[in-house]
Amino acid sequence: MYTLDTKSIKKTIKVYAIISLISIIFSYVYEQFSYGVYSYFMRLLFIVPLVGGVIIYGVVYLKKIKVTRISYSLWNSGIAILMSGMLIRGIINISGRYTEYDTIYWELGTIFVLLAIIMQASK
Amino acid sequence: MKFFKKPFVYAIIFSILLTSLNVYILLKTFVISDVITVVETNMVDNTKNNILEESDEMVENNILGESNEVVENNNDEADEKIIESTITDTSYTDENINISINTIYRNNTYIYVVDVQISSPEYLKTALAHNSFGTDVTQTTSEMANANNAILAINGDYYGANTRGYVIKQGSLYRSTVKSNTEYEDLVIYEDGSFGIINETEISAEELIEKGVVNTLTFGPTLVLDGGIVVSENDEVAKSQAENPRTAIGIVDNLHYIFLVSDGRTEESEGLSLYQVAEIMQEYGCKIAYNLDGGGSSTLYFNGKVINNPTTSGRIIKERSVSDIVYIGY
Repeated sequence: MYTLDTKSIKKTIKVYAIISLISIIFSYVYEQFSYGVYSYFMRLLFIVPLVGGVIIYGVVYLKKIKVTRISYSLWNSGIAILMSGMLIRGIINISGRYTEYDTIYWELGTIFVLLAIIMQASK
Repeated sequence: MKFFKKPFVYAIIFSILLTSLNVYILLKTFVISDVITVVETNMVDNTKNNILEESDEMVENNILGESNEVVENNNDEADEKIIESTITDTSYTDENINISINTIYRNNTYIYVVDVQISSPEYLKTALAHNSFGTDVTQTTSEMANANNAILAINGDYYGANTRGYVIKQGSLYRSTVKSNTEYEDLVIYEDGSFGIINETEISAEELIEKGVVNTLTFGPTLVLDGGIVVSENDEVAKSQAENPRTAIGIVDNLHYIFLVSDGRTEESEGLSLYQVAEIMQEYGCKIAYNLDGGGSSTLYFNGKVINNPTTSGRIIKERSVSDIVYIGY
């Protein structure tokens, strides 16, 4: 079975660290133009790539866990969906709205993350 | 499984799908109007036109303190009744409606306080943008006011920004789902013109209709209750900044109301905190006062003109399109 080498994992950690940093800057800049209105979803946007990317892949790297390509793709997809959910919810809340359109992100994101874990466990 | 072994193919397809979902959700939230119900209009068109023409004339000629005539036509009455009115830049008086606008400058902000007295609750009304109920169906306050021949109008609760929360307008129940954020209560207007404060978790929309509620305003928070201020100096709407343009409505006595609109976010006007609005509403004798949609939505329309300086950014004075208005008119 094809697994990712440590070099790829290391690169992934770097990419997620950059995404986390960009998320922090984006949230800060967005808030500057929102007339003081803020959303915890926007403020905590960076948490998703930080935990789901830097920390999880950090553990994978340190423990030298062999990650399959399928799990890797599914996990990254789950993180991307959850990040999108946080971002969209933040934008909607800052505009003063409350909708349930963001529910699909939490459901889809959870499904992808769970699938990634199942695929990894059953390798 | 081979599909996953081609990471770039998978990544490209996934990115396109996720971006499409994001764009769709944002369009659905902010752009795409979803009309669910069109309001049945019972008004007699001729009557509306008569009043509108009179109103336009008054504005165009800038008649101050002069007597004018408007035509009242109750839905069920075939005969028309001529009503004489006296209109100035800051007041309107006829045998049923008394409106007086007082502009004050306080807390570095221009505040427009409107004293309204009516002889019958039927003159206190609400209207929906494009006469339609739905999400993101919007129109400016002045457009809605014009379309409904309003003498005085303020923006309402912007119910269309949310997909949940009770919506009762002019006695019709449009939405009966409990709102997502029940931190704030709703203002209800009964058929006798009195106000009440309710929590959606404690009473159903159908029960409200049974109890004679003809309009709900779902924004908040409640500013004044039983004559006392019920917001603290630190209270703010949904994690917002302290000073903003504001719109509020209150009841002083039977068929005696206060409408308040303040400017904000400009050099001339900073805006008000909720507590400052509550203080003013209390000063004007409100027993109940309730905060409506503010910020760029805050608009006061009187006699064909927008009185305040509505702005979202503080740079451009421009009305924001909203879902609904509260107005005084025939």
